[in-house]
Amino acid sequence: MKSFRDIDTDLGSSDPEVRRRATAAVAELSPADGAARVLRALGDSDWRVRKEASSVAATLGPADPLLDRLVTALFPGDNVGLRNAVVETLAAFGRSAIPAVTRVIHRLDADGKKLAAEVLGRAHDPIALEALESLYADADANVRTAALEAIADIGPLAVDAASRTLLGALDAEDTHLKLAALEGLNRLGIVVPWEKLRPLTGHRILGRAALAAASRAGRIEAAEALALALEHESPAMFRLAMVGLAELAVGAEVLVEHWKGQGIRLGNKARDRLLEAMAPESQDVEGRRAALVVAAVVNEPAGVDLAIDALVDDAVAREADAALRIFGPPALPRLLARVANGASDLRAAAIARLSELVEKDSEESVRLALRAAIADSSTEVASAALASLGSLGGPEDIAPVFAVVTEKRKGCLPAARGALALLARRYPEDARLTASVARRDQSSQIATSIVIGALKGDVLGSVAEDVLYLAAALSSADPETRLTAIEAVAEVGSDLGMEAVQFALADEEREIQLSAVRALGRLRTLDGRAAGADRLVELVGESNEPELTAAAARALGEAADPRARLSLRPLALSKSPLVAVAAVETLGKLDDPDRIEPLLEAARHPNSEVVKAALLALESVRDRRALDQLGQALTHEAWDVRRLAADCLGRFGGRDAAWVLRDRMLGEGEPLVREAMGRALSAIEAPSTARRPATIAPPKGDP
Amino acid sequence: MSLASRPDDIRLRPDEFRMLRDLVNGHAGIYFGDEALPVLERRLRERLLALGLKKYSEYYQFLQFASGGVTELDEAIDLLTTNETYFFREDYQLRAFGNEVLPRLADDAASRRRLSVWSAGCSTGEEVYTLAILIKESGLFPNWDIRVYGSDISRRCVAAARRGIYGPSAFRTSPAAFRRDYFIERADGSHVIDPIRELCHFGHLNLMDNERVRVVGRVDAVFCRNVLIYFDQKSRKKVIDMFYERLIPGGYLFLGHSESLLNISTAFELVHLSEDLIYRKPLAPVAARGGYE
Repeated sequence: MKSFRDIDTDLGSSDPEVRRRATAAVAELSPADGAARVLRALGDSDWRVRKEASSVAATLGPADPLLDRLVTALFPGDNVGLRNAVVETLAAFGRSAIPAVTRVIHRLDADGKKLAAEVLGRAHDPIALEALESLYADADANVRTAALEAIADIGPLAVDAASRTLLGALDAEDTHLKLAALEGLNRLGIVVPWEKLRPLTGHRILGRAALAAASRAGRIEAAEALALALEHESPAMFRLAMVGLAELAVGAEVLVEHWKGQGIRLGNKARDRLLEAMAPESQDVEGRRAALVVAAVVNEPAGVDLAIDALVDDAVAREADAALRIFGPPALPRLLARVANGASDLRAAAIARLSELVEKDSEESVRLALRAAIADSSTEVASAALASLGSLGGPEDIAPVFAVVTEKRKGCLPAARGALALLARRYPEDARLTASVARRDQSSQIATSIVIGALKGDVLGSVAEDVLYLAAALSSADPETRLTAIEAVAEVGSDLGMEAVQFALADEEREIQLSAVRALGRLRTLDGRAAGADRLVELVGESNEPELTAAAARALGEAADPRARLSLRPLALSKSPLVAVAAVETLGKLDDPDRIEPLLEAARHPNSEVVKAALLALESVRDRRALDQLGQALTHEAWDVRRLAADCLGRFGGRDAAWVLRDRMLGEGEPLVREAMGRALSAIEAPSTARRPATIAPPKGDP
Repeated sequence: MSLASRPDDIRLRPDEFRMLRDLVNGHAGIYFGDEALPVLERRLRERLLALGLKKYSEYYQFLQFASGGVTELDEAIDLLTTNETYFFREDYQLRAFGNEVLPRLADDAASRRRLSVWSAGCSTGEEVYTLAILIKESGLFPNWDIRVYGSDISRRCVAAARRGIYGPSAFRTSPAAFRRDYFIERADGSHVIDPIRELCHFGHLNLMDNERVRVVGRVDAVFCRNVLIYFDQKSRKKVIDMFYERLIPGGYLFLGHSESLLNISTAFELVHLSEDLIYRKPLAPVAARGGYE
């Protein structure tokens, strides 16, 4: 270990490498001894020495002697490099640096206050808000602007407070302050009242940021302002307005209808720009997405074909879809034209969109196109047509779809099965007739079983007849037939099917065994009891096959049997994660207040997937012990468990959950977990602030 | 010359034989005497090769502890069991069933209008279809709920039974009319007709698994012919007790011509038919159960 004197001598060396090594040696000193030396090195003229000093500061940790020394660099001085290096170092300490900075903040000059605001903003911790609010009240405009920017930085963790301050700043006289506020609001996706935005949209400096905010305003006037901006000379303004308008339009039917009702047309220049933006060769994907939607909003005729073409382009397919919905029924003839000709993927995509554009008077032409397409040589096209016929077809379509199922046409069977079930539900009498006529033909067992399942029985004369038929289908050599039959028995749900289901547990095909287990949970006696509950209780206790046990656990939950909790409790601790997760998820759904005990046990399972399942179940149990367990999971060794625990606490809600989150946030090093903690705190503390993410894609699919 | 071991080099040592034999016995009840060592060696060798194992002791470890061990044990038992059977095997017993037992069952079960028969160890299904045809031909059960269950420990056999397609050797002792009336001739063999097939239900069951066999429910008659001869005494007793449990009171048990319940169970009563002796579960339970003296 080097002596103080050697270190100090070397820090004064003319050789940067000697100074760097001396700085590295400071890491072996105590924070009290190292603080002044770190500060000296942070002010070094050589970047390598400054970098080493930052690293040494991190090693020494956020101890008071070091922090107090570092903040002295925020006071006036000539060394700009030192100040910047200190800001970086303090910001890296996060929450720990806040008290030291706050203590000196009011003694700093304007430049120092700006730097302090930056440190506080980058600490990403709501406890800095109070200090920042005081800086926001500073006499110096630049300090106020820096404070506002820092408040926006903390915003995701304290949306309500940030939103209040940022919206308030829009009433200020200072243009730069307003700009900082608007940009912060845009970054946080906070909805700004149109009344506040309107005066700003035409402003030379604020106009762009105000138009960006207008896309979230949800007002027709905002749409008009954006439309007006489409005619702006500047290509950047055009693009901004286009993206904003698209954001506003997606999912806002009232606005779109109003807009289309106005019959507004673009000027030539804006139209050319729009067509250019939506062209397939455009490299600006975000611009192309927006252009597709805006073309539909302004009813640009050339947009229909471009939107249809874009249906098979993954990068813009969602927006093309949205555009066609906005174009509405007038686009149907163009879409029908594409169904008949062209590449099979595009034809299939066009078929899939027909249902959204069809109207009463166009129904028959659509059905004709679909009927022709189900015989297409492309299975992609035929499958799409079958799927659409399910929702668009008439009673006369039952027989041809029934035939496709019966012949098990390669590649089309899944779509045909779905279509037949849909048609049967829409036209039950016709479906019953078709199934009754076909019942003697063994090759139609799949189709007939689908009809029985879709109508939940009473197809072949009585439920008893249906069950007999399905039991016979279960003797088929074809596994697909047996699987369909067992699923239909489950749909019918009568305990008359109990014997057939029981024996299917001995099927040599695993998928059929599993279906039989699931069916056990769904069969009911006349007085509503779960007929298969006894068998399921036995199965969860006796089976040594994890897949079957897991299925039985889930089925027992569906059976809603009072023995479920006791039967599932040992399974929740099973060594097999498959079994344990199934048991935990089922326990979570039970209407049994005592389910918390096994869930708490499962939350300590050695397998992290089981722990995660238990946490998800615990988040909806209103019990202090659930909260404690979720909080404890924030210290779990697996980062994904900690992240989930944070999200669960966010949904659990309440002041105590927020307190636990904030307490753990300090020691959390994993950025993804910290982000989740911020998200959770935001959800607990600011559920009321209206936010909208900056995206033009409509919310679709799984969260 | 290759140094790699040839398949024939893998030898089953006596200690390995005992371990494997006991494992199979514990799982399926099937018992192999010491003389069966070459049989096990020959039949299981292909599994060792398929799994890339070099010793039978490794195979034993795999069966016991590997994640796919249970499935592999089914494979092994598939290879070790004999599946040879045909329609109308031991026809005197089937005549007794058709002419004397079915009329009794038609009377006994008249109020239920439901008949269940189980062929336990059905192999490729010939016995199951034979029983279904006999029931159909008897004409005693119009509009009854008839179910003929067939189960076997071999998945391959169950799948073949479901297909219901047979070659000429399966008909070696069948009357010509039987084949003509209940089968359709196609290029790939004789297919069981649909009305018979619909009565027959097949499942993969180990008779030693007391819990799983409960999927069969209660039955009026059990056929378990030439199956228990492969079991040891303890396993036989376990299976017979299970049959007793599965039969309704008054239900019948048919064993192979060389099989009896001697020293296994006294719970059943003996029924003398014109061509055969069969067992019956008494209508009222018997007080003591032990072996026939």
